[in-house]
Amino acid sequence: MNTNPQLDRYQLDLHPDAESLSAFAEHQLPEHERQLILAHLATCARCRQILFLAQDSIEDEKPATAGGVLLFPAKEPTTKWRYAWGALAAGVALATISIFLYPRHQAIAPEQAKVVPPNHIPTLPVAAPPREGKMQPSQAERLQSSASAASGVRPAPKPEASLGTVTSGVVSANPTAQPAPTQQQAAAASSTTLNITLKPAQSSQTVEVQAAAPPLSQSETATVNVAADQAQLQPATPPVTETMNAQVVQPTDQIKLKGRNVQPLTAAKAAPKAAVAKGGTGNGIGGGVRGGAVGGPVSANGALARSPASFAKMAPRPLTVTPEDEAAARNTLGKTLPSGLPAIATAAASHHLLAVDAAGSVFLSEDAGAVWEPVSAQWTGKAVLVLPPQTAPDQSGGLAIAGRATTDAPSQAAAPRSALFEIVTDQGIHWTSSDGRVWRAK
Amino acid sequence: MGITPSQPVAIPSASGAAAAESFPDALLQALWQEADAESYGLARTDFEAVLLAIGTRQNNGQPAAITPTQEQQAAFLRSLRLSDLALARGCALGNEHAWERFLALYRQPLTRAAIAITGSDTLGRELADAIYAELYGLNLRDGQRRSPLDSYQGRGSLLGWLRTTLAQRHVDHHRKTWREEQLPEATGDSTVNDPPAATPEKAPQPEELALLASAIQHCLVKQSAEDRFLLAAYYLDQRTLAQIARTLNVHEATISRRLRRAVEDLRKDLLRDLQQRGLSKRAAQEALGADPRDLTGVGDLDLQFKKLLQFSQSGAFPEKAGS
Repeated sequence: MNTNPQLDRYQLDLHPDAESLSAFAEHQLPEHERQLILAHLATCARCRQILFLAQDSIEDEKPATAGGVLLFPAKEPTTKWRYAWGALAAGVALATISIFLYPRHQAIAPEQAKVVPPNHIPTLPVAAPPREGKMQPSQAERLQSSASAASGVRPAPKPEASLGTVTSGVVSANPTAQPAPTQQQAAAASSTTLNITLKPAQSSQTVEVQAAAPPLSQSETATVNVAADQAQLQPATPPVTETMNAQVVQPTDQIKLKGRNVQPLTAAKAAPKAAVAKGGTGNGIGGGVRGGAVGGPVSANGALARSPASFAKMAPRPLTVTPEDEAAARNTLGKTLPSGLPAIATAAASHHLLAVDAAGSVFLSEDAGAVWEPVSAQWTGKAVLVLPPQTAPDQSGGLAIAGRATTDAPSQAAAPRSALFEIVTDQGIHWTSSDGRVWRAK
Repeated sequence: MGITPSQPVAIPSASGAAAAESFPDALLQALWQEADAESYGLARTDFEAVLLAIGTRQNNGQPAAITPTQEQQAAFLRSLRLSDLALARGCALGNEHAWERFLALYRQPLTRAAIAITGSDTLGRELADAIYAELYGLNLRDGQRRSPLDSYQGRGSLLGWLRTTLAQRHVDHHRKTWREEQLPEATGDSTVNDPPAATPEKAPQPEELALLASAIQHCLVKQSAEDRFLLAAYYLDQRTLAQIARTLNVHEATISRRLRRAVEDLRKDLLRDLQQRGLSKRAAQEALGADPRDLTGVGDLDLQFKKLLQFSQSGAFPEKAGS
């Protein structure tokens, strides 16, 4: 009956052994023997079952390969998707880099600060951080390189870092980007030393700024409490006290920031004269060095984030109340606002006129009430009162030091209602703004 | 179909095959070093004897009618998994280092394979333990310790051989005990649980059925071994196209095309064969609709002819669920 001679030769009553079946499954048999096994498998349910069981057990461990042989050749879609994954990974990496770079510029945006008057200095009003230490060398290098980049000069030779202390380089700022120094500043010193201690803690960050002006002994120390937003701190940064000594050498036509190892704040001596402007205003270093902003904003990791010139452009100018502003505020009071309601409170400064209507809406005008624009309510409740910025006489002696945080939220009790607009809501909460548009809770 | 114990199948070798009684010294030395047989307690002469036996049994990979040359012999020996072979033979000899190596390499894979084969963690571990004892040679034959590892010849991987051995033991055990189980599934005969067929309009005559069974057997034998394997695996075992494709190392689309072509060819051959046996074309087509359970004399070819033939003109074979 069987016409196939190979089948005649093959003993159908017997089964191929495990050796033959496994070699068949791994495609290692020569063709003639493979045909014999196939002929047997076609008629033997047992061997088929063994074969498929053994095959399935391979799939559990190596779904795509068996015996080193790629069972399914690479398909085009698979290859294309591989590239797609690569592109996706590149996108994720780019986003990650952006995330890490972004907070370096915005790290102290929401911080609140207090500038202590010079005569009240050397106290540490914030809770001690869990661990104190010097700034890490890498941070110091970043500070140095950032500052150098900001000033547009070549970085100083790499400092020697010992035991994690900070050694900063010399930073020269382009005088063209700085406002002209005031008379007090010019008279005070041609060289100013800044001792800055960064103490990031869990809930607050202390920036102690000592401004000294040797050889004229213009030394000043200011304590800035920075309520650091922990979300914007570098997550890997340990809660250490970072001490940085930055010396600002300010010749007549050039300002230099020089850093070296310094002692903590307790060793710093307060200068008899204040070189720090009280209630410094403006973001970044705007108003920091009065008439000549020096250095960039110090981020949480101690790096100077922006150049003085860029911050000088970005920082809003201090609000001043001129007689014209006062007249505009008086004239607007009681007048009808775009909401159809009368203004119940007005305030003006630096050609910014704010008005609150009876419904609690706030309007802003920059042309003495000719054109109004509504201010979006960033507070809860209704605004019932708007207060003009309260300016203080300039006592900085030509040097006002303020970080960005000092200008954003001078909300501590010791700070007066500084040069910011204020809104009081019906819930009694004060909101401040430097431009009348963006408001922060006080 | 009778169940016979698993036995090694000796491929008949030609009379002049493996005439060489020894290998060239350089070849043997290279193979012995490549296999690292010495570390498993295999002397060079022992290893040479093993290679000679394998070459003789397999005719050095050549068909039985061909006498292999020395080059073919060397190529066959080099194609073997020499390291696996030396390890298996070392274990069969009871070499301690070989067993340490074996356990380090295959303990976990063997257990996982056993669990995958049995579908149960408990049964899988039991199966793996049993195979360990068997591999170690606890079973005595004629008073001598015999290990199945002696039958490994190195053509496939040792791990593949172990998996196949596990599957053999599991299937044999299942086939011995399935009648004791209460579950009606997994009978091995898929026609037992089929629902009763609808009463045919015209009951086929016994002569027609005998004619049909003879024609089917004749046509199936003419099919190639691979086509018959495809038909059996797909229709009898209900394997998926992907499973069959992996077994044959081709794409499942290729399996689908081959299956469709095999069924169409089989149907044409059947119609032609039935007409040659005296049936009209209409009678032959009606005969193809006969209930396969009425067919006798087909022997082991228990195909589901009704399903096979009635759906032969459908489109491509759909992929089954689970593939």
